[in-house]
Amino acid sequence: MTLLGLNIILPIIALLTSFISNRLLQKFVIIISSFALVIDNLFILLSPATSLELITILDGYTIGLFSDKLTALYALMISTLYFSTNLYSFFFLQLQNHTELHHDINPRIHFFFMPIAIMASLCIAYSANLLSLFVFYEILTLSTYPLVIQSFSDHARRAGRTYMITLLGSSLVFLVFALIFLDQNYNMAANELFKSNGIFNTSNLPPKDAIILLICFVFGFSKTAIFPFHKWLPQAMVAPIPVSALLHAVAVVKSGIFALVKVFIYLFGMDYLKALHQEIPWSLDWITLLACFTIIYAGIMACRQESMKKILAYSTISQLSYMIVFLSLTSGTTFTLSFLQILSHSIAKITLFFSVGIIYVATKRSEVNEMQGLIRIMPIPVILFILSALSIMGLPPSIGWLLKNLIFQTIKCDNWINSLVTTCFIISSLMGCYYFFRPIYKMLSPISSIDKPNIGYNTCSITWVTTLTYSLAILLFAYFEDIINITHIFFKK
Amino acid sequence: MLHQLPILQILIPLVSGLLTFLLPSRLSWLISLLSMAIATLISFSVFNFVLNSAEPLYYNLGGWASNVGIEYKIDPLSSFFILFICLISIFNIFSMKDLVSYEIDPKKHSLFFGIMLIAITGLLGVCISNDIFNIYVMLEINAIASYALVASGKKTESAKAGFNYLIFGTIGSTMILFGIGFIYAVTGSLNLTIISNLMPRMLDNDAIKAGASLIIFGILMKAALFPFGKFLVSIYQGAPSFISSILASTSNKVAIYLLIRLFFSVFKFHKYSFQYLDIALLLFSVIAIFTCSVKAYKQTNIKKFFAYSSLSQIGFIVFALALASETSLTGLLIYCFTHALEKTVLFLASGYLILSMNNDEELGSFAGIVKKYPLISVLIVINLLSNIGIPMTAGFVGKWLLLKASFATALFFVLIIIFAGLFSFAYAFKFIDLILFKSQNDEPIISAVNAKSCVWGISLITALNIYIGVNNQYIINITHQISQLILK
Repeated sequence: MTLLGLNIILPIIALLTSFISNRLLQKFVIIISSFALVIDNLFILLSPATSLELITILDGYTIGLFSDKLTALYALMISTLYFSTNLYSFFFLQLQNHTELHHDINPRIHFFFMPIAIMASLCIAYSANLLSLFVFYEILTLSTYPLVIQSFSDHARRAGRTYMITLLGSSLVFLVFALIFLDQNYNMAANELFKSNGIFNTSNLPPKDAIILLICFVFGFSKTAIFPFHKWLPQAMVAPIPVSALLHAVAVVKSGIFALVKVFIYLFGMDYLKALHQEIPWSLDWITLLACFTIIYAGIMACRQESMKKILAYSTISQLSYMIVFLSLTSGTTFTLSFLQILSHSIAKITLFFSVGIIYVATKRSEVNEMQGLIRIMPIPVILFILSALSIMGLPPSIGWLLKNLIFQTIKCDNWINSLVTTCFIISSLMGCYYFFRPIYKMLSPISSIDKPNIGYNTCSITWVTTLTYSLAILLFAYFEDIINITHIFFKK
Repeated sequence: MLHQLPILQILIPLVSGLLTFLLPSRLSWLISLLSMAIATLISFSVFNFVLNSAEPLYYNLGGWASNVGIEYKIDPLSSFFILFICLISIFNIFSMKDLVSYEIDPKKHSLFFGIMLIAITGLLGVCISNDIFNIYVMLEINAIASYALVASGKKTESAKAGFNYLIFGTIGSTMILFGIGFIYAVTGSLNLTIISNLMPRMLDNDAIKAGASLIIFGILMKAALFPFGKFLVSIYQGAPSFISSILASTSNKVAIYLLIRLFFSVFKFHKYSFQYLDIALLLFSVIAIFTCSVKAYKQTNIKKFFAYSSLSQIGFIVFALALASETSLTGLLIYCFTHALEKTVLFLASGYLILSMNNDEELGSFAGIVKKYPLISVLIVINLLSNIGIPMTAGFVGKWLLLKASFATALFFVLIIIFAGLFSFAYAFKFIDLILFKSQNDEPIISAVNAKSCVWGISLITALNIYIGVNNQYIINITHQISQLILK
C-alpha cells in the first residue's frame, strides 16, 4: 500500500526541488527520487497485488490505485526510462548552456512539470477505476502542456494550442460522455473497481451500448494518436529532446495505449470483447481498419519528412496503431503482443530520440540531409541509432525482430481482416525500412573534409546514458521468453 | 427572545448599517464585520432549526396578521440562501478592507460600509419575506444602495456605471412592480402563501400570465442572464472590484432564489403547466452559456473577462433551474454557492492586481504575473479550474450533478453541457496560459500594494473551495433535502 503511495510522493518531492536555488542539491534529490521510484516499482512487481484509496471526491466516487503484475511491469518501464531521461536532461542542460539551441530546456518549467507528468502516467497505469483513470489522464494532459511550450516561441505556442485542443477536447467530449453514460445506465460502473477479467459480461451490457462505449474510448483516449486525432504528435516535437523522448515516445502516448488496455481488459474484459466480436464483427473491426489506415498513412507521412524528429514522430504514430490493432483483434495472445510492443517500442524509440538529441546538441544538425558522414565523427550515437532503428523495422539482431516473428506466427491469415492486418504490417515494415534507411545511408556515407562538422563539446557522458538506456533493450532481449510468460500467465487466467 | 431570531438576522445588519453612519470611520469596517458575524451565527442556528423541523417558521412583522400585514417565512430554502449570503458577505467584507482604503476616501468609509450593510439587508429581506410587495421593497432597498456602491469608485467609469445601473435596474424593478400589480389585482392578496393557494384556479387567467411574465423578465434582468443582463457587464467593469465581487456573488444569486421561489412554490410550474416557459429558459440559458463564453474569450479587459465568465455561469444555473428535477436543483444550489466563492476570489484578486498595476485593466499587462505574484496567480488558477469543474474542486460537484440531471432528461442536453464545459475551458485556459506561461517585452511598472486582508481572505475562500471539492457529503445532503422540499 505504501509502495503504491510512493508513486505519488516521490515525484512530488522531485518537483519541490524546483523551488530551491542550490542546483547541485536539486540534481541530487531528483536523481535519488527517480531511482527510488524504479526500486519502488520493482518491489511492487515482486510483491502481491495491493490497492490504495486516495480520496473521495463525491459520495461513492473514489480515486484509488491498485497494482498487479501487468501494470507493475509497465510502471517499472516508465520509471526506469524516467530515471535515464533525468540523467540525460542534466547532461543535455550542461551542453545546452554552452551552445545556442532552438529547442532548449527551461529548467524551472522542465523540472517542475516533468515529475507531475510522470506521476500522472504511473497513476494511469495503476488506476483502480474509470474515474481515477480519467482524472489522471487529464492531469497528464495539463501537466505536459507547459513542457511542450517551454521554449515560448510562437511555433511552440501554436503546437501547444493544437495539443490542448486535440487532447483535451477529445477527452472531455468522449470520456465525460462515457463516464456519465456508464454512471447513469449502469449505476456506478464508472466507480466500480477494475477487475482483471472485466466488470461486464454478456448479460449486463447489451452490444449497442458496448459499441457506443468503444467509440467513446477509442476517440477519447486520443493520446494514442489514432487517425483523425494524430496531428498533435508531430507538432509537439517543438519540445526539447528530453521531453520528446520521454513524453512523446513513451509516457504520454503509451499512457493513451495503456488506458485503452485498461479499459479493454479490466473494464470490458477479454471474454466479453471476444463474445462481442463474434456476435457483431464490425463492433471491433472498425477499430482494426482505422488503426491499419493510421499505420499506412503515418508510414507514408514519415517517408516524406525531412526533419529527424518529424520522422520519429510519424514512426511513433504508425507503431502506436500496431498496439491498437492487437487490442482490437481480441484474443489473449494478441493482447500479449500489444503489451510486448509497448515495451520494445518504448525502449527503441527513446534511444532513437536520445541519439538524435546527442547529434543535435553536438553539431546542431537535425535534418536528414545534414547527417552526411556522421559515423566518422560520432560513432557511438550513430551505432545506437542504427540498432534501435533495426528494432523498429523488425530486423535482426533486435528485440523488434523477435517480436515481428511472434506477430507473424500469431496472426493467422484465416479471415480477411487478419490477412489485411498482415499485409498492412508487411507494407509498414517496408516503409519503416525506407524512412530509416535514408538517414542511416547518409550517416554511413563518406564526406569530404570541407563540410566536416566540428564538435566542440564532450558528449561522452550523454552518450553513456543513451548506451545504458539501450542496454535495457538487450535485457529485454535476453529475458524475452520470461516476459512473454508473465503476460501469457496474466492473460490466460 | 428565541422566537425573535428570524427577524434579528436582518435587523442586525440594518441597525449596524445605520450605526456606522454615526460612528467614526475607522470603526466602520469592524462594525460591519462584527454585525455580519453575528448575523451569520444567528442564520446558522435558524437554518439548523428549520432544517430539522417539519414546518417552516412564520413571523408576523409588528404582530399584524398575515392577510393584512407583512409575513416573514423561513423555510430551508430561504434559510439556506440567507446563510449563504451572510457567509459570502462576511468573506467579502473581511477581504476588501485594504482594497477599500485604496479606493475610497478614508472619511467616507462609514458611509460606504453603512450603505453596503443596507444593501445586504435588502438581499436578506428578499429571502426572508413571504409578501410579494415587501420583496419588491427589499429588492429596491438593495438596488438603490447598490447604485451608490457602484458609483463609489474613484474612476469616472465608476459614476457612469452607477448611472447605467440606475437606469437598467429601474427598468427591471418597474417590470416587477407592474407584474405585482397584475397579480394583486386578480388575487387580491400580496401574501405568497395565499397567492399560491389561489393559483390552481387562476392559471388560465391572462392577467396572471402577464404578471408572471413581467416579474420573471424583471428578475432575469437582476439575475444577469445573458440577453437580459448584458448591461451588468459594463457595471461589473466600472464598479470597484470589491463591489463587482459582492454583486456577482450575492445579488444575482438572490434573483435566482426568487425565481425558484416563484416557480416552485407560488406558480408551481412543475405541477401545472410550464406554458413553454421551461423551453424558453433552456434556450436563453444555452445562448447565455455559449455567447458569454465566446465573448469572454475575446475580451481584452480583465474585469469584463470575469464579468462575461460570470454571466456564462449564470447560464448554467438557469439551465439547471429549467430542468427542474431533484438532482438538477441540488446541483443548482451547490452551483450557486461555489460560483459565489469562485467569483469572489476572481474579482478580488483582479482588483488587487489592477491596483498593483496602477489601474491598468488590459489583459495583456497581466502576462507572466506569476513571477511577481505567485500566490495570487495560483489562487486565480485554482478558482478558474473550479469554474470549469475540474474534479477535486468545488465546481465539479455542481457540474457533475447538472450532467446527471441532464442525462436523465435527454441525451442532447448532455452534449450541450459537455460542449459548454469545453467553451468555458477555452476561455479559462486562455487566461491561465496568459498569467503562467507568457512574458512581457517591457517590464510593467508595479507599485507595492499592502492588502494582507485581501490575500488572506481569498486564500481562505480557495481553501474552502478545495475542502468542498473533496469533502462534500454534508452540503450535498442538505441541498438534496432542500430540493426535495422545493419540489414537494
